[in-house]
Amino acid sequence: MQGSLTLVKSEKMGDNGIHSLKETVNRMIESREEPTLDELVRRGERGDEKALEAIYHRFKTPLFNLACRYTGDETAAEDVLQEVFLKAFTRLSDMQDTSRFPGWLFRIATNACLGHVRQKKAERLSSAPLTEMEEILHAQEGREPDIARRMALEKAIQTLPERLRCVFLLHDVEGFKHEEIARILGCAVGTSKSQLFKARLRLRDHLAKFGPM
Amino acid sequence: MMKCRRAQKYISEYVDGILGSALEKSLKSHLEGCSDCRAFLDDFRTIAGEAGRLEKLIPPDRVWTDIRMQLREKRSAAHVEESERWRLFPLLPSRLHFAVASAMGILLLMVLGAIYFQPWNRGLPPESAAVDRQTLEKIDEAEWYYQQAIQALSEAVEGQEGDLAPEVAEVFRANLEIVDASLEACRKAVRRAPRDLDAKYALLESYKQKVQLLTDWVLIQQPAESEERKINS
Repeated sequence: MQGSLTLVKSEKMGDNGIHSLKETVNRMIESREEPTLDELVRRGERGDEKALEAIYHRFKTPLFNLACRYTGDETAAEDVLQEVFLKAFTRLSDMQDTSRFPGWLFRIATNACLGHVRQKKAERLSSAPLTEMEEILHAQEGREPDIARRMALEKAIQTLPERLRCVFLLHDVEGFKHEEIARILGCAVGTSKSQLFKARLRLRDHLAKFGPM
Repeated sequence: MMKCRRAQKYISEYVDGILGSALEKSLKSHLEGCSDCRAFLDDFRTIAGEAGRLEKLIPPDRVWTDIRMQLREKRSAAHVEESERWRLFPLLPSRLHFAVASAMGILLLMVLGAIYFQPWNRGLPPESAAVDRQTLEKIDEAEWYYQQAIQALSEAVEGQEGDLAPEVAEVFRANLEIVDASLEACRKAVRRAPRDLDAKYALLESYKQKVQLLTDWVLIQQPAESEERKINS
């Protein structure tokens, strides 16, 4: 299939066209060859390291992003990531329905993050101190407004209470639906909605300190 | 008309596109006339939009390397533990062996239970079964005495049979037949279940009835004989 498509270079089709066609075909080949999550989980359960690695690469980025922003610490996020995958990979046999695997993985991750955050709670402050705000304002100087806003948002996320932060990260950053969040966090859908509202409200109030959005 | 506080609660769901159509209509109507809530909506849209565009952080490669190393260590530790277990306790069960051993254990318990409770003794424990054996022996002994008594009484009846009035002898014979039939039925029951106490007791009861009947037969002839002796003297 790839051969027939790459050989078809009509006169109307420019280089860009060929390039996008190649990409499409490659994507098709990749998607055809890519094993399903169910297959990977079953193979991983039997100790297939390649399958475990494929699962890791499939979920590492969203989990790492969640962990980084939840804990506010990249080193802690690396620890969380290790903890999550070690726990998940040694319990793959518990996973009967692999459609629930992503939610299960994120549940392990949120619990691991919560553990880290609580462990370091004494060191953490509930809101950004004045010196930190000054630092942010200073860092924003001379930057593009979008970048400055994102930086401020990153910092503001850290000021949210744990639960609100978790719902905000899962919904607005990772793109989970309220029904999925409710399953991950073991709460009602209504609770997820109301916590998202509270999180956005707090962020709005916090960001207002840095000027209009 | 929707108030600002209520409108702001719905704005979050409106931003996500999950607000019901009736509420959405009502909210839109409020937003048209409320600049504060429009600003609120803009801010929520900005926050949600910016959150989705936050930098995607990639974990360093060492994380997977560490995970893989730890998984290998865990597997290797589990393997060593398993080998060690087999070396030290070769008979210690694996999951399959454990299942087989459990099944064997249950079977053994069932056999021991059967030996202990002896269902052929109607579920009685051995102590009760021993009592039953003793009872059966005594019943057999009693049966032997009944048989001896019946034999002696039958001989007595036979010796005097001619002396009894024919109609009375007829009634006795009829009764004797009934008792004998009952006796035979009880004997059959005992032959079928030699250790059945109820059957044994029924048999004894039949013997007792026969003994009673034969005794009555012998006794009923006594007054007639005494009367005869009186007349002769």
